[in-house]
Amino acid sequence: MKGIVVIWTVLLMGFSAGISNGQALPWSSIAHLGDSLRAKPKPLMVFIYTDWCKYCKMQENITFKDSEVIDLLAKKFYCLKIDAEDEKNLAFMGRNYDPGSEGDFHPLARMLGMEKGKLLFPTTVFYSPLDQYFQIFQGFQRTKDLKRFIQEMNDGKR
Amino acid sequence: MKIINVNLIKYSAFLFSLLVALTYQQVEAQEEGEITGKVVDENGAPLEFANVGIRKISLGGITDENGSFVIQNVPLGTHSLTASLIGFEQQQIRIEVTGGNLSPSHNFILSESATSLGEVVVSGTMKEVSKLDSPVPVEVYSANFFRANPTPSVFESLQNVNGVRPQINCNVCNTGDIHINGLEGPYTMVLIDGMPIVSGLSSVYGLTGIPQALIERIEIVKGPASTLYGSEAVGGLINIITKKPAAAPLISADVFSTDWGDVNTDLGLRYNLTNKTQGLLGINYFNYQNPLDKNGDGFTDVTLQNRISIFNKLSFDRKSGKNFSIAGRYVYEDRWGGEMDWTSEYRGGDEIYAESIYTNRWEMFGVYQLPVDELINFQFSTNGHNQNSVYGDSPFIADQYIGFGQLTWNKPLDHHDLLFGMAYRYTFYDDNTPATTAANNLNEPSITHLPGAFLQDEITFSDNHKLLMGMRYDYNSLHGSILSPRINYKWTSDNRNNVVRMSVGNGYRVANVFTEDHAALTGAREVVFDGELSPETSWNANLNVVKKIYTTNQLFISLDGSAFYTYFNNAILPDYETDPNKIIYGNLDGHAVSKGASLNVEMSWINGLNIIAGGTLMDVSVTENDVTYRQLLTERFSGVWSIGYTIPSLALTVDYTGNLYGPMRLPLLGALDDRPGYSPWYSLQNLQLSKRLASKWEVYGGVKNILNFTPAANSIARSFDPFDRNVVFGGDGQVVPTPENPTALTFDPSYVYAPNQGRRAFLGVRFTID
Repeated sequence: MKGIVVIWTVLLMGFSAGISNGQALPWSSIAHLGDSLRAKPKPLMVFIYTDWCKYCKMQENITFKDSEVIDLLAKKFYCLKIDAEDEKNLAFMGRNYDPGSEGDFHPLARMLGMEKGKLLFPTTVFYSPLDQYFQIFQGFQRTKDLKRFIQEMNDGKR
Repeated sequence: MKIINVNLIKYSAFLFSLLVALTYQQVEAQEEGEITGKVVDENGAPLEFANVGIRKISLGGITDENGSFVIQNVPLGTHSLTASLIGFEQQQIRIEVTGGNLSPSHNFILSESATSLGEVVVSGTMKEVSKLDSPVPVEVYSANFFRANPTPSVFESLQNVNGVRPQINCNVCNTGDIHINGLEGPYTMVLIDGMPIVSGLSSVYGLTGIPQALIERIEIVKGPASTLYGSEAVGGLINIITKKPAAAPLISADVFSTDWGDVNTDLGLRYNLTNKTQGLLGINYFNYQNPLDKNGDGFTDVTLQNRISIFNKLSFDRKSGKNFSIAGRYVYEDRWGGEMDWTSEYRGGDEIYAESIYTNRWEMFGVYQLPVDELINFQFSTNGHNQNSVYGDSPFIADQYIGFGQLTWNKPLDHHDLLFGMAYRYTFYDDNTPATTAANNLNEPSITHLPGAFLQDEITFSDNHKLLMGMRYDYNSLHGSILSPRINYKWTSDNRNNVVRMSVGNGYRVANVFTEDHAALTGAREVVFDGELSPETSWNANLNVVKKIYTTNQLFISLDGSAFYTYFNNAILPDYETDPNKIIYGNLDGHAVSKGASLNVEMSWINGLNIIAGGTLMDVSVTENDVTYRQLLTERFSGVWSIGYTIPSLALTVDYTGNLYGPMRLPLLGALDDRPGYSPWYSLQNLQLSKRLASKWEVYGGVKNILNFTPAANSIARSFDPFDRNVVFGGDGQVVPTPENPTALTFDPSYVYAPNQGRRAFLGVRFTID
């Protein structure tokens, strides 16, 4: 009987950990990025999205809700979110990005996320200001792929 | 993979210090120095977090808040010192470290790196905005969407879109046009890169020769858009957006063939003409030379075609970063359909019947952004189209030249976004028919000047509410002033998952029946004009509701529903029924109405399953002299689906696509015609498997028209007597029933409701180098 209770408890805990209700990725504000980096240098994870892009929402709802991903990212990275259709000026790493009036995607999103002349959504970018290491992942990122990459980056394999 | 600096400096710095430590004893005599300096941007502002280092020996550091850096323990000698920071051009200098008390210093001034252009929607408002943002409902289909059911032409590809039906108008020459929400093909405006290129004469043969390798996406607006696009955008518009050279693959090739013996080849090539000029070349070649008569009517089931199309686009990098591109296309096509034993020596004669069409067509178009601070674009296009055709023994030879120029000025203000434009369109049209013959029997080409101006204001009240108002004025040299206003409203929910759009607007079109209505050309019937034709005008109201649902179990659902109502004050409709030997064109004494509703459902799972299904219910009717009847060749229901599933471990994708069409009223040849007055329900279904091999190759194959549906074998009336030799006409010109012809028919290929191509297997291969 005791055994059954233990098994149930473990199962329930496992289940609730799996869906990780209430836990969310702490998004940093781009305005305070400089202060944060000065206080504690860490690499950045930048998530580029638009509000009409379904796989962006799905990555937020699925991958970024995974408790392990949240743990890894929250500890080792500053996480930034950039709406590619933001109409505000954004200052990033010493440069001001002005969306202007061309009606195109935000120049910061283009600078960070564009690959082969294309900006796809979502795009997940890893960037380390310390060594200018830079890696782009275009398209939806599965939990396991993102986890593996973050691990490798932490272990210095990348 | 874009890697700015692969070296992990923390890692390498450790290695280096290790090396220094190990060798220190031996090289005691060797001195080291340090390098100092600053990194600033072009305005002199210090750049923090810039990386400055000597890559070769992996030595370096990061600039501080003042942009300053110090690199210590630098071996004596000359080094290359690199400064890099994301968003800026990297800079490299040579610097000498001489030791002693001299420590060299260098200040880097980094310039901002250029960012290239993105890809977004263009059609609805003529400005680039995303679909969600646009108050005008624009449907965007990427080139990928159409790969689920590959076809040799854009014309056929459009069958995959809900509410859009490519209709074949002629059983013999297989020409067609595109019906949007049940409205006739000439009401559909076809644009390439936002320019009215496929129009008039070319709307019949113009959509076949666009190389698919160059298509970035296709945007569809259902409902009139004359306020921005002028004449023709009555029923809706289809905008084919070609790739930007920078975004195109270096080489792409796509070849496929079916067991009917047709071969379609698409080639794409990106190249640099100079270091500031990028080019994109596309070639499409389609060949089908295998006459088949599976339904036994003596006529080719599918028209034989030999077509080449060459497209080239150049885009120029300007110092200002402003846009400048020019594109050109040339198409040649030789197609014929007819009696199986026809050869080209019978062309134009009355021994063996065939319809043979040679098309020669060229186009040039481009856009140039004016070198001023304001956003002013100049767009231009010009094209020439020559058609040399025979329908049995009647020749139809026509030339059309169109010039188009447009200046648009976009002025964003606080809550307003103004777009002002001026356009001018010149059309020259000449053919060998009475349409271009003056009263004194001399040839009189039709020349139309169409200047116009439009103004649009998009008002953003808040994140949730947007209003778009537009007005256009055109002056047609034949018909005078034409005014087309419109108003669009959009509401978006706070979470951006719900959108409601409402619109009212109008459309107009100046008809040219000869160029657009193929039936007018097919031998059997005489074309009659009833009075002077006026422009066709329509009013449309549209309601569009979009709802997006993200479920927790890895499923996304999008519902996109629309209700539409279009009222035509005047419509030029062919009257086949008053007299079976005539097609009568005249202004409508009454009105025409197209109303209905459509729903698109998209479901995507993270595991790779994607389902898109859509249905359109509509009622298109004409009321003339108080009598209401259903429009010919228009279904009440059409459905379309596309189900795709990718198995990532096998790199294998399965696509199941299909269409379902309800009955259409068909043009009968008089009261005795015993063919069914309505087409049956029918469905075209296709299955495809595609497999990616390595990174460059993809193989695909499958079966088209699995159900093997083809229209009735008696669709061509009296196919055995194409020159009506055994038809007896009475004194009034009407056909007299005879024992040989009891149902009083004449030869007629216009009773057509589905492609006459049965089940076929296909196999293709794609090769891409990025």
